[in-house]
Amino acid sequence: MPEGGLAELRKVAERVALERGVKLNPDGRIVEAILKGLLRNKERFGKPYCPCRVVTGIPEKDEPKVCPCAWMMEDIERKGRCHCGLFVKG
Amino acid sequence: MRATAEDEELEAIKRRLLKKYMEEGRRMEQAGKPIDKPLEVTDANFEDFIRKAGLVVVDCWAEWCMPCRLMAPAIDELARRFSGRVLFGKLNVDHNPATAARFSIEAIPTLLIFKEGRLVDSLVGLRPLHELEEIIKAYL
Repeated sequence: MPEGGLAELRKVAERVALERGVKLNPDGRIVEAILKGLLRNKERFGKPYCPCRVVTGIPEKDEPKVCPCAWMMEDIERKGRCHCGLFVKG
Repeated sequence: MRATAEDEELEAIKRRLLKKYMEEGRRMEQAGKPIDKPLEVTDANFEDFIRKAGLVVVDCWAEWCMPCRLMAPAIDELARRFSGRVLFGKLNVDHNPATAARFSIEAIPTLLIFKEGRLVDSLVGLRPLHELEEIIKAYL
């Protein structure tokens, strides 16, 4: 999710959801809060790391945490939503 | 578009309220009353905190973590229900990276459960109140 800005992050999230056959969380407040967290991490760390994961400063540990994270589809299969709740089962 | 000044202000208000809330808990502790609120845990007070009671639960969270926010009322409720038996704390992983690194916390919310100062369980992710209550009861 390399683009910046809340509106841009939302567009990317919508595109990711479409491409992967999932949906954005129907609760707009949750989506808004997570997008703000992504934007904050992008401003702070240079990449939109998932705000529900801890950025360690170790690139190989942190790279899978960039949204959409490496565990997204697995979490959606298992729990019906990604860990942070931005994406839910389609 | 950057995070707005209004967002920053709202976050500052939330931080102040949380601090006030946890200060109430600290005052109860100082007055020797049973603590029914989570207390603030930091890198600096962590070692002391986990030895303050036989069973201690530390909620590792961050401001922008939505599941953390959703689980916060459950933690507050558990602190009330287990008042005098279990001590609850909240550790902001953004502000306390040493403890987060020490316990290899990769995702939040993470609940660390300590019995007699030793880590006995680590629960990652949002869980409902009744499930958390059952897990904690099992350690009493």
